Amino acid sequence: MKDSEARSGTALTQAPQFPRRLNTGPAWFWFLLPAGVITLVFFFAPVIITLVISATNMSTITGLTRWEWVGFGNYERLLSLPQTVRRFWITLRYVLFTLVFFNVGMALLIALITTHIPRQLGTFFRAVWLLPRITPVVAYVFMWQIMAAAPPHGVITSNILEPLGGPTGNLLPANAFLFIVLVNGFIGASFGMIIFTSAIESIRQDIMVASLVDGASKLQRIRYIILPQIRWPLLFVTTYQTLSLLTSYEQILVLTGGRWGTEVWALWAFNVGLDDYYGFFQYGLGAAIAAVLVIMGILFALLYMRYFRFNELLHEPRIDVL
Amino acid sequence: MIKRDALLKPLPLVSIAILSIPIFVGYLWVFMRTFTTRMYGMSPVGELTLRNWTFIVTDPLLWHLTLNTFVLAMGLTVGIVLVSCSAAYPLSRMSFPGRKGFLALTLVLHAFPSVVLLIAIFVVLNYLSRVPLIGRGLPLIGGVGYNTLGGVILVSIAFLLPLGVWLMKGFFDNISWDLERAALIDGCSRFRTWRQILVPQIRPGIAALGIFAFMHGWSSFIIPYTFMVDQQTAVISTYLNLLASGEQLMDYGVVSAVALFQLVPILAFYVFTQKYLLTIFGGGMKGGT
Amino acid sequence: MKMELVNLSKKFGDVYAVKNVSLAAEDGELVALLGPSGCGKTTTLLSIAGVYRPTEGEILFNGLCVNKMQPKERDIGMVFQSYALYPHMNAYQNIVFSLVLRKRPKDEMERAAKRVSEMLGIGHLLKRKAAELSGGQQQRVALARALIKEPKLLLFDEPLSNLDARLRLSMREEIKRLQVQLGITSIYVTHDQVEAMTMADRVAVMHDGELLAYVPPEELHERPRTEFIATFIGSPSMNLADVTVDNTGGSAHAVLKNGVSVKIPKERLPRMPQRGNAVRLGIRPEDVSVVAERSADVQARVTFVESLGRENLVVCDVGGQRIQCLTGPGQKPPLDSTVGLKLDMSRAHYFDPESQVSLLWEN
Ligand SMILES: Nc1ncnc2c1ncn2[C@@H]1O[C@H](COP(=O)(O)OP(=O)(O)O)[C@@H](O)[C@H]1O
Ligand SMILES: [Mg+2]
Repeated sequence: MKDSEARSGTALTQAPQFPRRLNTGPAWFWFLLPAGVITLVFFFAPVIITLVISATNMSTITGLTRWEWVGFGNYERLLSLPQTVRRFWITLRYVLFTLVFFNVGMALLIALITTHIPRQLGTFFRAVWLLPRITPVVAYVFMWQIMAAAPPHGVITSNILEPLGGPTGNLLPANAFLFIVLVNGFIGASFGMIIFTSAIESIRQDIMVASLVDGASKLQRIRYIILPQIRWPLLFVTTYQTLSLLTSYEQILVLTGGRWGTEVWALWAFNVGLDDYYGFFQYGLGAAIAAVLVIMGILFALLYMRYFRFNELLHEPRIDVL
Repeated sequence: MIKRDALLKPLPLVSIAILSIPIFVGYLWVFMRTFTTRMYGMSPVGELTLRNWTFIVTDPLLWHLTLNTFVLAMGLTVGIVLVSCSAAYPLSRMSFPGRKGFLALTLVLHAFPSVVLLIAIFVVLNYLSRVPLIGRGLPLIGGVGYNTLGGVILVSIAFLLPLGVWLMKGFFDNISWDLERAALIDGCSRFRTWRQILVPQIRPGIAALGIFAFMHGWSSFIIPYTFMVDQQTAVISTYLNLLASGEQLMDYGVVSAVALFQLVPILAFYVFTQKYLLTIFGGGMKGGT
Repeated sequence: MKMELVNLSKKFGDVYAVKNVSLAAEDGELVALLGPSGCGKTTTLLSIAGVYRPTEGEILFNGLCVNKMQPKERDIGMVFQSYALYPHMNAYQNIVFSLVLRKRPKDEMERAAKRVSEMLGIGHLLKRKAAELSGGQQQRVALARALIKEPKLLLFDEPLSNLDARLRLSMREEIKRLQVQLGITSIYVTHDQVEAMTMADRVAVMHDGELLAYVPPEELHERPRTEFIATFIGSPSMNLADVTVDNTGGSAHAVLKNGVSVKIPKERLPRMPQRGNAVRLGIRPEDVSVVAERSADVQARVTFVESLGRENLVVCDVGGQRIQCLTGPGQKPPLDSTVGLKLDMSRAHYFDPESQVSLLWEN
């Protein structure tokens, strides 16, 4: 290396053979190595491990060494468990409600409102709605627990229900489903909000102004100009958030732990595999439950790639050397 | 007609203000509760006090947790920036066999819900624990296996990696080719070009990713919750979860103070870096919901 | 140093950006690569620099094939259209960067930087960042950065095209002066023919990746080998007309479509194409003059007049054939008037309508 640098000034005229550097392999390999290893260890291997251990009876009893193959046993058990159908419906309901009312509905509403009020107020309210997303999850969920708690702490109970003479116990157990939708919805709305806002703001101003000049009301403009223009962002947010909702469970875990009929599919896998109250972790069964989501995740991810119109994003490098 | 319009005009503002109430209420309650002895709903009824704050900041456990949380956040930040910057460079600017495949993979992983892999990653970390030297017994991070801070950092890096690589690739894409050519002609190797010429050009990108990663690491819950055994001494999130899970009698004042303690750096970052963060969230953030 | 390209080709995907180009730049020569945008000039230059790997062919430095050499081993300096200064470094750091990489001692670096920056008159700017310099200053710094290595070969990629017209003129002179003074072999890419004609010892004209001509500038103008070169060089571009050559009787005539015929002087009689006697006549606007009708070769109707400052461009119609001519100041015939045109047939060119090669000059 040093040698070649030192000589390069004179090499041309003197040496017919050029000093070559020690061959250390192509540069791209070294640049990609860390990311490659991490991907291999924490994505590839886990996908395969999930599928493999879903065919075993691995649990805290067998440990990681004394397990046995059970073939499709775990899956058969899943099909026969009465919980399975319940979990399925809970998950479906949860995804549907959160998606419709918050991740798409509320997101669109906020995007529309904040683009129709004075600019600075709009920015302010969007910043407010981004707060739930950046707030550490446990602190965030704690705020909702306060909302639901019994007096004297609970905000809803103490400030609204009690003066009205309504029920005053902790609201969470009886309304757990509503609360998981709210907790996730207030986080989820901001993703769509950002996407929709930038889509709305990128609609050409002349069209926006012209429509008003043509006599459309603001509501008509939303209906006939804005909504048609953000078709694609809508579809994108819907599919993308469907996958997110199907597979995320962190907030529900902190809020209810899955009690009171809120154990969605992903949380179920986690509880069975890693978070059983009595410390009996059934890795095999948990993996079988998770495997369903893994497969779904792969399918969705491939779909998502098409949205990105991958090939258009690909720029050919404009340097050949090394 | 005119009257109706006049009534309708403030409607958007009023409605968004009403919709946002739960957010304001949550923050306000936590904030007020840390400074009072008792509240009834939203009304402070006890006297004002700093007791909650003095209680937690004199607790050595909190500072131990803070250190752990900071190490986790910094580890994630440094790790993700290094690994993403390094991987994004060839993906953006070199031709090699499999480049397209790598890029496609990054994109697929970007959308892939990594949290469903936790059970399998538990198995992986258990194996890593057995690797001599790095598995256990490293200073500060403990190692890279199960029940070590290093393991948690590594998993966090992995989960954030697709986003980081994709983001950094975008920044590399925007650097002029002539700049890199000039460096090569001046005598740089590809590595040197990366280090001395290109990386300085994407400092805004590095700042954005770094801040995002720090906030992410500082707040992270599920990974330390899953892979650290002692929740009480792991990180602030797990400790707070323990306090707030309601299984012990809880002192709302103390819980609120810990929650706010964790929130303050996040909010400070947020106020100053909103623009950066919006690009990242808009670029397709996953996790959460 | 002598630089040669031997059958150089470069493909991007399935398309040739450069196709089978061969040329040699002698030691100390300045060669201009001239051609319209997208014709492969930059690609050729970057192949010489080692940034692109040739698909086929060889690049020889002093007879030695350098195809496999890294850019840094080739001992070249390059100046880019975008200047490509390192934005995070100041001018001095930009200039000495190559010496830093070679781990030269500090005092040597400072001396070298002083020398080149004084040569280029940028001594007072060394502490500034690239963004704090004007375009012209940036280009000087870029030039200093290329020169400090004392390269064996200098490569310029349209270095002046981002500068305003006046600056372009003075930088043009300066680059040429430095190049002659230092005697460094140089390849100069440009799409501006005036630049190429005034600076280069030889001009390589490229079109669609192919080398069409490689000759000294005068020859390019006076003896174009193809119709493309003839029309590409010179502004306004050469008039072209389909004619038939009537060589019966004692003297030759070029007969235009509308029957008008013009006498061809003996010493400028073209070869005949393979088939027939239809050729394409080319005559530059400066070789057509507006004269009194009786001494004219052809009668024409004026369709458009444009003042070019010193001269006027008069566009005429000769029985359906468009002919442009340049007239002196004050000679500005009114629109739609009929004028007489005199064609200086001793400076006319003839091309084969099929192969488009010149029928006057050997290829
Ligand atoms: N790195 C590259 N990858 C793909 N195509 C390229 C690349 N560089 C140049 N081209 C194409 O090759 C042709 C010649 O480009 P170039 O050499 O830059 O032309 P010029 O410098 O004469 O304007 C153009 O059509 C251009 O689009
Ligand atoms: Mg070019």
